[in-house]
Amino acid sequence: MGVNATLNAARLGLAVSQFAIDVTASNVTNVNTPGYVRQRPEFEATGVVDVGAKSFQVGVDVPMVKRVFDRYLEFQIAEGQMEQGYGATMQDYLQRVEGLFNETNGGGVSELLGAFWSAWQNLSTNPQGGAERTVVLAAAQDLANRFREFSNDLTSIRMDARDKIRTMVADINSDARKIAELNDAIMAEGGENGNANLLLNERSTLLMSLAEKIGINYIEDSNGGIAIYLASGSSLVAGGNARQLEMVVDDIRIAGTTESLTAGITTGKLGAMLEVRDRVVAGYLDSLNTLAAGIVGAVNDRHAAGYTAGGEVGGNFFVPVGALDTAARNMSVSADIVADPNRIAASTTVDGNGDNAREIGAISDLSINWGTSITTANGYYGALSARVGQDVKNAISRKEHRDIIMNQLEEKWESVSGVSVDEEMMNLIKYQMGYNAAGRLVTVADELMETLINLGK
Amino acid sequence: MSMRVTEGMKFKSSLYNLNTLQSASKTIMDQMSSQKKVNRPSDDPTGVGKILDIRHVQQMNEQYRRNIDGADSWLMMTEAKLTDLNDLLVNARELAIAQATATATAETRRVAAASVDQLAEQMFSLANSRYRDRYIFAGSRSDQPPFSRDGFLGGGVDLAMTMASGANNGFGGTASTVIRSLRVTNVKVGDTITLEGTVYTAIESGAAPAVGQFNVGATDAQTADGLRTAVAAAQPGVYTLGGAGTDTIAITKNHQVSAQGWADTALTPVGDAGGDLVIQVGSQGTITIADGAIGAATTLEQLRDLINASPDNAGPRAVTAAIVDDGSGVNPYHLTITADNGGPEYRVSLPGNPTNLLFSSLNTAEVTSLSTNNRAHFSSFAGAANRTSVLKILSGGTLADATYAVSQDGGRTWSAEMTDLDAGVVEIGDGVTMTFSAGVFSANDIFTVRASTPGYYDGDGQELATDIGEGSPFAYSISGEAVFTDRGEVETDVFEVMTDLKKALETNDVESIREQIDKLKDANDQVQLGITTSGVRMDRMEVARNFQSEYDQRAADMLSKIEDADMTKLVTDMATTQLALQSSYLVTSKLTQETSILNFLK
Repeated sequence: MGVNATLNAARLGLAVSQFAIDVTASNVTNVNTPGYVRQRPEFEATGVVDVGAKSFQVGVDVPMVKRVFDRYLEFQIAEGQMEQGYGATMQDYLQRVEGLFNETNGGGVSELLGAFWSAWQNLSTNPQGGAERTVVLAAAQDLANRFREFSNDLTSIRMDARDKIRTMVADINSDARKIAELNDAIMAEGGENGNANLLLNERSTLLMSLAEKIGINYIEDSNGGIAIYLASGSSLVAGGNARQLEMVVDDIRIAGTTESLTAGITTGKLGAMLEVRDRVVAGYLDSLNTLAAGIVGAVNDRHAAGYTAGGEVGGNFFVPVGALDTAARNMSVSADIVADPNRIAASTTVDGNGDNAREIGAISDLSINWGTSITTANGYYGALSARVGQDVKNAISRKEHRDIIMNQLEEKWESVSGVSVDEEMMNLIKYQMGYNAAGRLVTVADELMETLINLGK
Repeated sequence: MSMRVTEGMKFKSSLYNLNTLQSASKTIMDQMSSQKKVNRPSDDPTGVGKILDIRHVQQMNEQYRRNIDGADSWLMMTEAKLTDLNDLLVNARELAIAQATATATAETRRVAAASVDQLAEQMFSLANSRYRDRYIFAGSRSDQPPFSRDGFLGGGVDLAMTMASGANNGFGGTASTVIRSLRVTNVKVGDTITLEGTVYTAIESGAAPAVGQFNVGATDAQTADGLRTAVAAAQPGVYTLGGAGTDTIAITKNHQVSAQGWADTALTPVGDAGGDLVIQVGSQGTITIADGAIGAATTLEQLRDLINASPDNAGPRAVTAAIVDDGSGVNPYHLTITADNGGPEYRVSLPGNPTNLLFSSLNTAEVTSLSTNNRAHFSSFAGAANRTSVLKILSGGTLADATYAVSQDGGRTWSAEMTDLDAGVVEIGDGVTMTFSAGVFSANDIFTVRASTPGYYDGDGQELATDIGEGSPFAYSISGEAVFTDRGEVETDVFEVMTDLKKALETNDVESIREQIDKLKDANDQVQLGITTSGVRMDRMEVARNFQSEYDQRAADMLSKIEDADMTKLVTDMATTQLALQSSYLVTSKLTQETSILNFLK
């Protein structure tokens, strides 16, 4: 053991402190970088020197910079992302739907329906009245227009989900590709224990972003690569290979195969969009169509049994429903009646009383069999509004619950992996002291050396 | 071990808390500004269903109230008119009593007869009163005046709408005494109607008719007299027919031309410019009076005889010439030439006319020739009350294929489906028959006969109804049948009594005058009963109106409970949330001050 060894140890001390300060600098500058996992230099004593019968370790090394990170927590966050992505998207779409049903302040289907029945009642008290006939026609057209708009608005929400699904599938493909590339790079750098911390951060971020979009499971293998599986069990990413998804009409498949994934995707934003497209909005549209068809049918039946102002058979008041799934969209008043309101059949006899108009007005209180329930048209619409309200309420409370869980998980993640400026400052002081001490060591070694040289004079 | 707290955590949780508080604050502000706690369906899904239900009830209540008001006004009008009518009846009775005494003479009675006539005129006018667009006392036939003065006097009108060929047509009716209105249905824009051989085309109801056109209207019904006048005028665009259909309707009758008035029949020559007199009879040929037969001295009588005696004047082209005195005193004599056969193919014209007579088309007042094609008639209606009979084609086709049903109550209820249209006469009942002999029918073609019993009343015994509450139609009108006729539940025909009284006064028949005094009492009672009924029904309206306001009050209470915001609670909540927000802001602002080691490292 000699002065040279001391100098060498001091050199190592200076270099390691400098390196530790660099790591601290990286942490501090990334304090606000999303997904950045704080790094910690791992110090290790090194260099064995034999002095007589005794061995010493003089010197220090940093064999690795450790990412401070909890793998199990990341799994939980990924899962939370899937639920939150689903919840947020569902809430967003449902609230748009709710906007359409918002008639607690009037002006909606319910009110127009009431005005329609009222117009018939008015006509019944003056069946030959031109003004009353025009009002019936106008109320019917308002109602039909509202149904048409309603159907179009719901359809456009559905179409919006359909378009976004395509974009979403493209994004998922891009994420999967990037993750596969990162897998390759990370494996080349030696995985977890290698020099791949920034790549790992980047991959984690991508993984979370993927989980927000679609339900996944993933396994990290010993080389540092991760294998991603979809909820259905199909492999998406394996090492450096990523499989792509494709849209065949409305079906999501593994590209180039006939393997359909659509039914298995139930979480993530994509899961919510599929639910909106295939079930939720489609269900509301079904109900709206059933309502329109029921009203058209009931009014037409009664109308055809009556007589026009000219004493002719009433015929259809509304254009009859062709296909049930377009009943609301195609709701309109018969062209004959639009051209001549005198063709409204207000009478139950050819002599022109107002009883038929009265009976059509009374459909308002008539229980109609809608297939799923037996109630009035107004009651059916009320139940539909309540259903939408309940769905929105459920989506909101589910999302709030998920937000709380996510918030806790993220706090936990921050607690483990986030950068604490206080802590980094303390480290900075510590490393600075180490550096100063190593510098002092050099001075001492220098003095020792000088003493030695002077001895030889 | 204490938890490791990082900067990210501090900012994140501050932000999360701020968001939560802001969103709570927004909800409270929404409710405060709308004064409602349910602003969207998700605020209270079960409540929304109830709110819509109650709103519906309120909307319907408002409508019922309008219906009640409408019926009430109708009844007030009814009561007022009946009260006036009653006064007139009292006047008539006083008059009758005065004239039944020994001091009255034939002369005073004749004067009284004129007064009775005026009273009757006023009574007819009251009985034909309208409220909005409806005749009050017409029962359900409320679109047409229910009473006509010439009820018993209507002449032997014999009319038919005939179907040329094809489908979808009108009908005709014949009645010796009682038919007063004839409804022509099923005419659409583009349809043509043939009158006097001239084809008129139907145009939109609002448009101005040019020559050869007439308007389509949905509700116009042509009375027999009106139609007769229209035919007599033979002018385009003067009357209106209503309905739908695509086929020709032809009215056939004998055609006639008439010359202008002449001073005498046997003195003044008709003039001769030379050339043959040629009478064209439609497509049947001509009757020619040779140039030589008419001379400078030929008179009206001689010309008539020349025409009637012409050897051409025979067979299908036969015509009859006649001289008609119009009674005017100045040039009263007209020479008319009338075809012996009816129909457009017998139209009379004068392509060659050397005389000074100017002939113009004129139609006789009577429609005498009828097509034997499809028509409905009731030569003797045997029903007990006025009624509208309807025959409706159920599935279209030829006479042999078409199926149909008949209704005796204006189309409210129907017989079973029947298939024997080609068997000839369809018996509707009570003497009303319809005859079909040609054509192709479409489903829902309708043939209507409105039959009236002898008398002055054309309406029916139905009552008009309106909804004054959920599922409860209330009959509010009082039909003319119930007040003025001897049909239904009452026994005195009010206008018949007036007519009889007038007749008795004119004929100085004291016995009959005394009889009418008693009958007038009965008539009085009948009208009084109508007034009482109106009063009772108005009371019923009042009760219904009270019910409605009570329902309204309850509905408003229920609605308020579900959707109105509790302002006291909101204000308190608002204050709490504001306080929480302020503290949160304060904490956030402190995040970088004094809570970081950076502040102490110099």
